[in-house]
Amino acid sequence: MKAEATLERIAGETKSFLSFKLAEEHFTIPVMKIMEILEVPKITKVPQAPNFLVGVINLRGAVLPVIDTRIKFGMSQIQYTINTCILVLSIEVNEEELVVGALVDSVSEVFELDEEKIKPTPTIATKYRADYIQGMIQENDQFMMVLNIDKVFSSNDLESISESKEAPIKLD
Amino acid sequence: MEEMKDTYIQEANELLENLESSLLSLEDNPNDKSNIEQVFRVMHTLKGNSSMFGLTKIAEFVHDLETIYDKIRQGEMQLSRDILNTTLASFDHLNLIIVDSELEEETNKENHVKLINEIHKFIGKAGVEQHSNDNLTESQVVKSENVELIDQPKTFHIHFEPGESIFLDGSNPLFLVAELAAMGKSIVVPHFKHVTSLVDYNPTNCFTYWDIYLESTCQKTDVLDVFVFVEGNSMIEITEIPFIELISNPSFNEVVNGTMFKDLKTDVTSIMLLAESIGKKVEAVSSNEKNEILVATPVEAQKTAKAETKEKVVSSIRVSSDKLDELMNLVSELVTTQASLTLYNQKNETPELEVISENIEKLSRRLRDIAFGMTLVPINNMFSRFQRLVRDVSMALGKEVQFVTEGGETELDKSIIETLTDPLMHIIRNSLDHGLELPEVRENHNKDRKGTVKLKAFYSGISVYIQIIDDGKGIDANIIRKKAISKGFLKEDEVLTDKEIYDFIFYPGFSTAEVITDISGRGVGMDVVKRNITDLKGVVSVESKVNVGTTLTIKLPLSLSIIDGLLVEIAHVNYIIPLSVVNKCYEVDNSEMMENFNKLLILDDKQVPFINIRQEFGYKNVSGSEKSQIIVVSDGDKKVGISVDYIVGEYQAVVKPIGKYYKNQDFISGATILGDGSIALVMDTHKIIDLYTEHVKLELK
Repeated sequence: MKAEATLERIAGETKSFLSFKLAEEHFTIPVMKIMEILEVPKITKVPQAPNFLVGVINLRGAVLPVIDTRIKFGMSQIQYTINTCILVLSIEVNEEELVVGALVDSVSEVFELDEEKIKPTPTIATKYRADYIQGMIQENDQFMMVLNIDKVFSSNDLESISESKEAPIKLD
Repeated sequence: MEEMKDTYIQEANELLENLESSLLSLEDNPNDKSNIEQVFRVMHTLKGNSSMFGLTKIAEFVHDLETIYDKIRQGEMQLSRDILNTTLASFDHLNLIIVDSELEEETNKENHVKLINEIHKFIGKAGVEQHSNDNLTESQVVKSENVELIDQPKTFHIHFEPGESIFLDGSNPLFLVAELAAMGKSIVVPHFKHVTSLVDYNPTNCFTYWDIYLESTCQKTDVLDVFVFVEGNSMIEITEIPFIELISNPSFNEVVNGTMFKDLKTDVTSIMLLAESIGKKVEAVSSNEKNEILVATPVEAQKTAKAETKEKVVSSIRVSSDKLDELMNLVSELVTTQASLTLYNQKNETPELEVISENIEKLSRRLRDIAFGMTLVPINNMFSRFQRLVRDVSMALGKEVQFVTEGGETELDKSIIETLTDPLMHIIRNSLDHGLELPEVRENHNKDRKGTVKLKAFYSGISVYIQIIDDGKGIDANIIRKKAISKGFLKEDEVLTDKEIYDFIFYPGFSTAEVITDISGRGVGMDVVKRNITDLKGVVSVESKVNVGTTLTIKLPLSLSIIDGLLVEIAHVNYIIPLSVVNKCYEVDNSEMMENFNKLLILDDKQVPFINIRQEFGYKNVSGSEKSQIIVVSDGDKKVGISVDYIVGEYQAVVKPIGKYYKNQDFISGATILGDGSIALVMDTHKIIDLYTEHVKLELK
């Protein structure tokens, strides 16, 4: 499995992770991938775009596309609360750096973790696309999914996303 | 030193580019004097530069080449196809050796010797002794140096008729005659004017004029210089007779002396004829004479070379593109900041501030235009390079091709143009090789024997389009489809549009397939073409019709672009419409739009089709009681109205890309940040109209 191979390669290192919530579900991504965390500013919607693309924002003079991570994971559209925020992520797609904002319900914490503790996802139990998930970890009795964000937010996946829109995986 | 060499190479590249386009236009127009001059001048500058950097091998090579054109320029030689071919081959060679100036590469060395031989053959034809060039030795080079720098001696016929009042001016015409005589071998034949009446005769007037035959190596201008003080009121005619040894010829002497003291104007043409029969053609000059004059001329030649380089230095300077990029970034930041200032001013209405803000707006606009002018180059520079390619390839293929370019004034970033050259070259080669048919085949299909390849560039929104259009045999979508299926790219039952099918051409591995190459040809390395263009953030697509032709379209974003736009509002979202397409704005009742079935509005007594953007963009329709603004935009020759809620005003927009996520929303060509920090989306009206037309067509189906 590809995920296992990646795991072996980076095993033994301690890394910082950030955890966040989408609905009641906990997810985590390496802090290295996060450039900053923003409050939600005014978002300009681009007409006729797929609904997971919320719009664009002004990030200090640059135009940043923002993605509704919940829709991306087949959940209902995000509801803006005081905790809603945007993770500015730097991802790599086809050896190219892409900066994208990800709307999440709330950010929980940053923690250190030995990468060896990331366990492969039991294949049967996944309700998400297997290549989105790098593995599972347990932190304070809480199971969290480590996301492979390069995959999740790669724009090349647009087609498969529109497919999942037709048959969304119901979460709650 | 290394840096200086870079400068040299850069400049040499530019010169060579110049040279090539001149050469190619010479091919169509071999008698075009100005082009020959241009070729000569460019070679001359290149020679000067090369010797300045001590690149003697290049300098000598160019020098020999230049000699040919000097002769042509002087009318001593006729430009022939052979000469052109050799020159073009030399040009290719020069392109290689400017980076290999010491000819370390074996092939370069061989080529060098071969070409020098060829060049010398041409110079030799014109009478210069031929060198044996088996070895590229120093002495041989020196010899050839001599050959050119010597000006061939020739005979001048000078008719000098001083004005009658010349003595009153204090001039003595005899001094001038003596000065001329000192310039070479000469015969001076004085004539006396016939005085009709001794009553009005003024003894202080001059009644003498001269015919002077001068054999000299000097130039016509040198002769003219002698008369510099009397030019104004004297009649001076100088004719070059391209023959020598006339003056020492007794029968020539006899003829001209026969006219002495007589008041009759010497017929230059008869002198010419005479010279031809008894004189010696100038080219057939003995080598002894050459050496005599050698001392004087090289200095002259160097002078001109220097003068020309100096001119170049004054007219342009070199700036690294990093600096320009930085300048552009600063300008765009300035424009954005200025927008905030304007906004602040609107809120605070201070008259003094208003004046300042308006001035800054004016200045930033001018600064923007200048900065743009510096980084952008007209695409024509690249287009002219392809002339050569088309010529060579079509010749090799035995096809008759007309190469047409359109929109050469379209400007693109220099770096983009450079990266584009290779893919375009590939596409054009494909068009010539596989697209166009042989003349006979074309005739059988009732087509003009001459195929046409058209290179077209134009702006749309904030993109630049480049199209390569040929009228060849086209690509059969069915064959591509079958091939794609057999290659496993496509399932048997999949339904694709023609456009999608043509996209298979760009699949790696698809190209090398024999079947395709045999039938339609396109494809060898097309995946590379696509990759190159994608690297530039461009898009490439193909359209084709069997037996009608193929059009390949490349769409490129303008890397950094500041446009004048019209800021409008639709459903509380700000949009920018490029001012370049905006024609006129009208106000209409919404009811007029809503209850409109043929989608036409009458504006200024003309029917104008319109697009209800709210509907198109999926916003809610507004109530019929309100008014909408119709902005009439031009799209090619068409005029189309676009409905918006409000017009905010003119706005100078720094257009930024909105990213790959929105690649399917290409009717939005970018976004800009407004003075208050919010975002406005920039519309590509061309795309919007296209989309709408497609949409309507679908509905009709």
